Amino acid sequence: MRLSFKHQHRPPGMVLAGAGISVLMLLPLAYIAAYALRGGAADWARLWHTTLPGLLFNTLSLAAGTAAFTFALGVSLAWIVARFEFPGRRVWTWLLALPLGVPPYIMAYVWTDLFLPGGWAQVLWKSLAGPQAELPLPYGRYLPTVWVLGLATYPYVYLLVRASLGNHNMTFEEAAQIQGVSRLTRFLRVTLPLQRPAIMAGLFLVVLYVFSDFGLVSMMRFHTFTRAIYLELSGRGDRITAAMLALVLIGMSALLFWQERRARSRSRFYQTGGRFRRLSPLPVGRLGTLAIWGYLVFWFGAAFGLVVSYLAYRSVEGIRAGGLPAALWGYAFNSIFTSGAAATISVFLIVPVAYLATRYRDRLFQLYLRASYMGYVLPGPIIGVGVLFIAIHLLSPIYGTVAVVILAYLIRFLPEGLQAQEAAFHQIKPHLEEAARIEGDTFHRALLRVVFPLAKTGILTGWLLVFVSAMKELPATLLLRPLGFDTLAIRIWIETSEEFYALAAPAALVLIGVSAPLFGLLISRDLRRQVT
Amino acid sequence: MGAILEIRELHKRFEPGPWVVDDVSFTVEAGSLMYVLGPSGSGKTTLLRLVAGFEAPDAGEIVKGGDVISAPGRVIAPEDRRIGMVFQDYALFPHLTVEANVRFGLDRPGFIPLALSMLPGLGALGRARRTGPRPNGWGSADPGRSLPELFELTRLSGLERRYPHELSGGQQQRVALARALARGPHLVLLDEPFSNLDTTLRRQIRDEMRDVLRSAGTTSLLVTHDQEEAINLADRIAVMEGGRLQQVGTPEEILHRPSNRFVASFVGPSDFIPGVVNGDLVETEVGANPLPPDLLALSGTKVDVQLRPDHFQLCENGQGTEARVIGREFQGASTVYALVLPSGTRVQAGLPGHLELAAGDLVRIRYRPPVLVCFPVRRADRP
Repeated sequence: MRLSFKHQHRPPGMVLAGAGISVLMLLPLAYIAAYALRGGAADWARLWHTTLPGLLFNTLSLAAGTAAFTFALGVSLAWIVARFEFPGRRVWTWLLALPLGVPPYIMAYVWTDLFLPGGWAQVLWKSLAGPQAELPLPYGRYLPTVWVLGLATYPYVYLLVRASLGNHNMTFEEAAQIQGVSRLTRFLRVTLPLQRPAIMAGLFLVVLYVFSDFGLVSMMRFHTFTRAIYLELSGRGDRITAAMLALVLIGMSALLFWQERRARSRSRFYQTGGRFRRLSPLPVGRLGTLAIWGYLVFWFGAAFGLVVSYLAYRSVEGIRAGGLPAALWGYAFNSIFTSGAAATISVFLIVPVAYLATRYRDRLFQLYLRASYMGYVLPGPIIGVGVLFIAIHLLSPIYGTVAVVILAYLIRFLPEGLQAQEAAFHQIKPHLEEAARIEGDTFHRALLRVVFPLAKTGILTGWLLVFVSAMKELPATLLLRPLGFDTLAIRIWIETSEEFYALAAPAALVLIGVSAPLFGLLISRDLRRQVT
Repeated sequence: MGAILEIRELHKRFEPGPWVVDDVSFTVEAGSLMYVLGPSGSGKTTLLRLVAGFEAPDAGEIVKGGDVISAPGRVIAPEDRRIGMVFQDYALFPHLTVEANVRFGLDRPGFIPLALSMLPGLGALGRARRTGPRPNGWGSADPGRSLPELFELTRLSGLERRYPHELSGGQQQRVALARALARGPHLVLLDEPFSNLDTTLRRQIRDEMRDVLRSAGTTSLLVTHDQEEAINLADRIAVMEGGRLQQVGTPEEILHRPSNRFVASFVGPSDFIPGVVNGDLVETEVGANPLPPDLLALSGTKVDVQLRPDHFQLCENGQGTEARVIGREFQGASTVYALVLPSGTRVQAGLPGHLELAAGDLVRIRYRPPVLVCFPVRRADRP
């Protein structure tokens, strides 16, 4: 007979694997810190007197502007689809989240191209105002960047507020109504404050994204931390300065991340106690429908419709001129291969971390979990730097191979899969595993026969999340790819930075074509769960 | 028949807390229905989990059929104990049909088909039946009964293709029981098996379950906080409180000869009033009753006498004690009245419902139990 020496015996294989994964996830940060510490006080002073204040101002003002824009846009859209009954409401609920499936740098590329000479905006303006007219637009960099960044990230706010409104308890509104409060005041004093946790969570995601974005700000030529780090590294090869800047950015992201966690754990609004009535959408008249459709079409068009149709137009134009570059399918294969490999490996790496953290109350396993969530606060260029250091010092045999790229994807996107798996394991009662044990299954058999089948959806969701994110990844790939190894994202970057805008269109279209449907699948599953 | 399970001086604590199971010893006879009864937090569920092998003892041992299955540092894995279990929430596998749930322990899909079944579209592989030799040292011993017989016994025939969420609470419980019995276990553990059921259904379902357990011929160890259930179903009861065993005995022994005040008051609502031993009688404000045979006490000894509401009688004028009604509560055919005795003591007494007494009415009563329960007054109990 086999003996299990201690009950709650931690499965040793998993504990060991978890430790290994935690170390791997912490390595980039450790190397960046080590490099940054090589910079002495003089280096920090120089940084403080030269680039740092400007970078801080740019990054923070961009974050503030984008947060304000996404707040207005995300909340208004969520409110409309939750509160009013109009034809097509369900489809719109889903459509409005779709821009999240478009890589932000593609949005930047399209919007830039629109306003270049020969672009649709210019053509339209000239046809209206005459051939000599110049398009009067704020050609500064701040407002256009906020515009595109906001269009790319408003779905974070929209999705979370929409979900929160789906759980909104009408009783509160009725309580306010009986106190004689008007509809607008009710919205401002009752409904909106109750969505505050969701709004804050959405805005945190937006700001975290603004901190980490590289591709979009680079294409808009707006100078933030990520761009500075990339330029230090690729332009000047100054690893120490790059590491120092990276450390500052990580500090900012981590501060934000822990703030958000703290805020979330403190402000828990229990909306669903006892009797619970959902928000029932108000029917609107013909004029109301028209107004709503106008509003939705405008923003959806700006964030998605225009982008896709412009890419399609440019691609057709390109094909007419010279046909599709045959290499395109090679780029697509490279993208799918590296992302697929990263997603698949991530599933296996996540299992021990997620399982241990959800099954045992143990400090160590909580540490594993935190270490594995590190990728959330490490923006792409920083992962690139960190993995570069690892490859140089620890894994020189794989330096300059595709494996390094996959490793970077793993560290960067593992948290997204982890979140999905953690939630899935949480929902499985430990009693089920005990029932399997008492029915004669060993620990591993019980995992395979009970836990994994029940967590399947969560595991699959995790795979998809990692895959979709990796498909879009740009900065780490740029820093780490072997010479001549082009993915779709890289091709778009190269063509646009050399201003062959038409050449980037087919690659962008293929990239959206692969990732947007998967993304649509993810959100439709999510929405189905929360929307009536 | 001898003891199939022996629990010897078992100790368990969850650092840094107090002992959850504190020096517990008792035996379970083969083929019997044993209850562990105690309030929540008494350590009874931990005791059950120790027997199942989900927890390891800190001291003492558990012996099943002559083999030590649990001792500090030597715990046989749950899957190797030949023990079945019905969990409090039944723990039915939600992704499997009733039949697949019941035969879960009999099926042995290989590791590779199982791993492949994780891939989308290949789920069927994991359900491939390979009913091999009994796994994990259960040996080729009596496999129990055939599955159709088991479905018949637990009245699940016709429900085999359903999923757990499509079943009523009682049906779910029978599936859990069938699953626990499927491998022909030596011992079945049941953790509060009726607590998830409607009160109106509970009595019927628990009688059914007892019949199933009896006709399956297994030994059962049940845990509950419901004294009425334990008294009605058990062959023997072990009463636990604060991790310690208070008394082990038949329902009659527990009811009529409780070993201490805790047991006496836990197995049913009751009040205690002072009494004095006078020869073979115990005199109280509500009448004199014979001294229990196992209590040796001299005349003049002060005792605390337990009054159960069920054993009060109405008296003619001039007899018994006059008590004033201060409240009432309907309980089926009888009504339990709150009464104040002349001394000012309050007691609960069950009297026929047709009396329709109201607060302030006077009534004459006498206490006439089948066996009087009383405890000598300890100095600490009363000043």
